Amino acid sequence: MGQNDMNNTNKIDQYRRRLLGGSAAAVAGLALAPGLILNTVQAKPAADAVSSKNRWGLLIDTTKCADGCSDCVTACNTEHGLRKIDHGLSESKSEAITSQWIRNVTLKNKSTGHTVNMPVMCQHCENPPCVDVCPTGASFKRDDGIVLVDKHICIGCRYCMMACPYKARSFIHEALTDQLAVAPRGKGTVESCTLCVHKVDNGDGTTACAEACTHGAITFGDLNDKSSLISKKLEMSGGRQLRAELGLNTGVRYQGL
Amino acid sequence: MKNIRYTSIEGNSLKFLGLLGVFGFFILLGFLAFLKMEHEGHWITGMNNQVIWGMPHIFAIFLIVAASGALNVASIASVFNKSFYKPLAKLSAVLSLALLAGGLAVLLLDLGRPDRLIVAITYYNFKSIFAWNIILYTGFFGIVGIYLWTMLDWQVEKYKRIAGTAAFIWRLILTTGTGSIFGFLVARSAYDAAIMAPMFVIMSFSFGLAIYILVLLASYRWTGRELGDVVITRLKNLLGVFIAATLYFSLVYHLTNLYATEHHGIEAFVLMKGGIITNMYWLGQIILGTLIPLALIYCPRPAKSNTMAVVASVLVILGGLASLYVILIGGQSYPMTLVPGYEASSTFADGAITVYSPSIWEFMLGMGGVAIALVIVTLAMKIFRLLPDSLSDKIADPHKS
Amino acid sequence: MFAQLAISIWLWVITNITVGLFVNIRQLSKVLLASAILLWSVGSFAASNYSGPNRDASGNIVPTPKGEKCVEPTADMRANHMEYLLHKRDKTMHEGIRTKQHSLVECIQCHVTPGEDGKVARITNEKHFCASCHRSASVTLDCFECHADRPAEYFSSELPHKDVFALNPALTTTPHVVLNRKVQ
Repeated sequence: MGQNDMNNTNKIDQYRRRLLGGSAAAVAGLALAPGLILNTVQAKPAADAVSSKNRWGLLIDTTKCADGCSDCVTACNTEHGLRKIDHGLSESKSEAITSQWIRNVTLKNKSTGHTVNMPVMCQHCENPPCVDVCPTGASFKRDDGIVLVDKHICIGCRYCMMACPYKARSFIHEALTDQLAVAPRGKGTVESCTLCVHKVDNGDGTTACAEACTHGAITFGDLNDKSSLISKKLEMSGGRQLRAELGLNTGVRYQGL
Repeated sequence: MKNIRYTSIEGNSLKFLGLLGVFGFFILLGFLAFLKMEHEGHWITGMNNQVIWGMPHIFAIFLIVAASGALNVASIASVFNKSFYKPLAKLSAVLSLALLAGGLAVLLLDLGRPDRLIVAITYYNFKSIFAWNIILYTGFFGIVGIYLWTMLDWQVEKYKRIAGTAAFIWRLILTTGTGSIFGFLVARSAYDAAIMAPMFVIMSFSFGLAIYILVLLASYRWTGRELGDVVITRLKNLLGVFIAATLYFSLVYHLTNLYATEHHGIEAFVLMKGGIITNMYWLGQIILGTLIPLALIYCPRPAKSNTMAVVASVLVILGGLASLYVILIGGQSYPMTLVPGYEASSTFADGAITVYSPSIWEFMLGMGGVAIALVIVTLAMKIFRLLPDSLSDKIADPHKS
Repeated sequence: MFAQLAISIWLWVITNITVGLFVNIRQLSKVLLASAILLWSVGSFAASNYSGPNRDASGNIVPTPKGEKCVEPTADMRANHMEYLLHKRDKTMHEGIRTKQHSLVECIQCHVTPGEDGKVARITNEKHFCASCHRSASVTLDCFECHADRPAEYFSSELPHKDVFALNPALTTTPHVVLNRKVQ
């Protein structure tokens, strides 16, 4: 009975949402000149499941990534409520146990001295090693290509962290409280960049890092949609995968390497 | 061979209770460490986001690997039908079960969410070698348990050969699975090698037999039973073969890596520049764990046979722990290459070698696992008739005397 | 409540007399103790299930939530809330369905209880909506190890939003920035 009720309510909800969403979009469309909407990402209705029609990804233009800027890192930490817990440990120890979903990496060519700055986060692989090795299936890939940790069934074995070639994952080393609704996280489980999955599901069409980057170095978009900005940029100037030799087909691509 | 009488140990002496007390104390310490880690979270350990698996995993993997190796003596008796090893077989099976229990306890108690053990049992990702290992470990308990039953109960003795063969095959698969935990890791240059699986199998032969020799000697000496030189000499020589085979695999592993330029970094780190890792390899694994035991075993009797066997076995165990330290910690502290040809630096230890300093809690947990294994063996000797009254030369090898 | 208690006591007496016929006095004392503990726990669990709509097991009034009524009938929620939450959790986690119905965040948003100090009760406080029942029913829940136990509006001001890594400046400034500053 409960199940039936729920389905009905869900359907009603879904209907309402479609109606509201539709009218909201119409209002927005009226308010803005059509030409101004350059890179729209179509929002899915809230009650619909994600599908493999989309494959979300990021394109990072390292030539635009400014030296000394860490806006994307700060934005990610703020968005997800990531913060350092003071245990009275040494600075290096403390840093080694603090979660970092996105980090600034400086690369220096060993022979030429050429230096590159770039943010590194979960690369949202098509064939993620973390998903392969996870014993419980807590590490999984959504149909739209976003790789997540289902913390409800994560047992904290950290095998995924051993398997990730990008060191994208962090383990939560202490008890937490007052987590943000968009990023539930707790002691003894593994976490990583969610590609701002809450924003993607909400149809924001961007991520916190991409939004915060004033240099335009981060582009979010649908790799499956050939008309999307990210696909056009990739088509025009290409983009490298980190550790492409592993054949993981990452959802995050880099230009200028 | 006909007159072998198996008896349980009396287990009422003050010494016996004292032994249980010592093991109990270490189990208690291990449990305290578990509670502390569970309550505080893993920040109190030396493990972090760079060195993900630490001391508990070294202990756990050592015990699990040794568990399958400890079964060897029984396998030689039942599967290869060597009558010499038959009197030794029961202890061998019990020891392997005990070591596996100890190792798994450490592994499980180190989990970030040990309270979700039920999840580990009910949710399976069959592509994960880790999930396969869960099945292999539980299966090992079942199969070796049945095998032990066929050895203890004359009514089912006729199934001993089948059960023994099944257990032998299973333990080979089990250690292959344990080695593949590392062999299947494509990301890190120290792992991702098929040789990991057979190397772990051969390591298990060596570690398991070393522990077996120590437990056998201790139980005969402490209960005042007679243990002749023949048994120990035979086991000791077998240990020598296993030590040499382990050395061979380690050499092949490193030579293969040294040939490939892309692995020069990690090899230079482990073999030359790694500080404690390098010391652990050369001093721990090679000199203490391999060369000295080999010398002790194969040099013509520098001292009384038993003493040498004890020293060699202890060294093999220490060397084994050192070799797992090199594999686990060495493999993790060396940075992964993000973009070939470029040196990386970041706030997340990209391109940097991580220093791992284990905390006392990790040692306590690991030792707790060892104590669990030993307490199981000790109690099993009291409950079951595991060991022959005497293993004097006359009984062990009638042809010789 | 009283009927429940009376039946419990009656059953307890009967059981003990019956058992007493077969066992000696020393064992009887153990049985008495064991059965008393058993009955007490069963009784208190039952009481938590059957007490009136606005009272918890210890007779305290369960705080009235913000909204007019819950997303499902109260009895249904009492019996099946975990099923709804579990179902919803998997839908959200794996399929990205983020409707408000049966969402834990919405539960927490609505079921806010003041603690003794007048601030919102946390999960460690027995007045917290979830804790009030789960405590007396002795059912542990680990939802709040990952999810916030109070609405964000109560703690958002406490979050170090602007400077999340204030404790360690190294985390907000990458190494090369420090280098640049030195050069300047």
